[in-house]
Amino acid sequence: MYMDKNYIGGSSYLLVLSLINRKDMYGYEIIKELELLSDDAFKFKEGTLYPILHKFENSGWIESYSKFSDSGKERKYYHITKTGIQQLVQEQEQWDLFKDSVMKVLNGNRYVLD
Amino acid sequence: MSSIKENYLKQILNEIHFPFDRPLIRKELVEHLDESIEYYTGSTVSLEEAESLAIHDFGEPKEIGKLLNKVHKPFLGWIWILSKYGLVVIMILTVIASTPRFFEALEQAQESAPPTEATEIILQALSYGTSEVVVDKIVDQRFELKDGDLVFERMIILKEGVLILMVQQVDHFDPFGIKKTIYPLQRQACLQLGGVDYHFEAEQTSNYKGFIVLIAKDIPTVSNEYSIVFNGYSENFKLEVVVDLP
Repeated sequence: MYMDKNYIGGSSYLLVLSLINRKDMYGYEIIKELELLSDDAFKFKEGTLYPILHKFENSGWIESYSKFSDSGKERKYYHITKTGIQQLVQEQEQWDLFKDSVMKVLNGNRYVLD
Repeated sequence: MSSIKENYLKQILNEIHFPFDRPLIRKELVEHLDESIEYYTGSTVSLEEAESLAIHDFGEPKEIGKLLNKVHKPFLGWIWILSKYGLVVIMILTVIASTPRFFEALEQAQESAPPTEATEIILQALSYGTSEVVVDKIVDQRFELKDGDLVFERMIILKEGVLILMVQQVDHFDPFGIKKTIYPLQRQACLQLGGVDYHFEAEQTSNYKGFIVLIAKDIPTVSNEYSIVFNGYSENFKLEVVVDLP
């Protein structure tokens, strides 16, 4: 199932930062990993990833470096910084709060009706 | 390179106004598209079809270009380039302050209690010479950062809703003070008043000998507590200034 991109929008920072936190990654790899881990639910226009990555880099959350693959392809890798990890924690907290609040509202119906 | 891909990349890059960032962005996008094309050609489609599919997956070029342009702002980029070549002093002297008195005044403004001649000189240099000063306060708050200290010296608020913050960075090995302070500061600084965020204007920021002048416009002058949050300079820090309004 495809997910409405508005749903992804708010959590894209958390998703991308958490992937780079696992290991250093390049853009195409991040896209494929997102698709794979979400069973294709997180499939969005690939080009929109780069403004996010460059914003992260400007904010000092990630750093980039170039590396050649075994097949000789040059790729720009991103590595999370200490500040980036702090940001990730904040994003995670915000997400938890959001998720809990949505669940509270959804489950709230029952109590109100009782 | 095929003309389809070339034309597509051009449409993205045309939206990015800062020319010096374009080659690196282009390189990264080409790397991505090539990898995507390779993925599709592996599944028995022709090269042309693979290109179309890769471009389709990548998205609407103008939209992506515009998003990238937001992150690669021309003015910040120029500051960056200029700082690298040491031209920033020339730029500041010609653009913002035509006289060294401006900088002397900045230095004096650190210690002298308001109202002072220093304030007048600073305001004149920033083209606010005729504005009425509502608040002129020595702030003197120091924040320890990884590479040195950041000292908030003075805050001036003008009746027309302009807030001027004078900041000095100390103990940095960075002769122009640009790379480590002005660049993240002006973009990350956010003045919060009554739940509304006011961003500091990059165009109005000058830097000399570690002095930074931050200017925010259209702010309410009725508040007596100003909370300014800086984010992303290795860590977050919050400046709280309480002022006595007349």
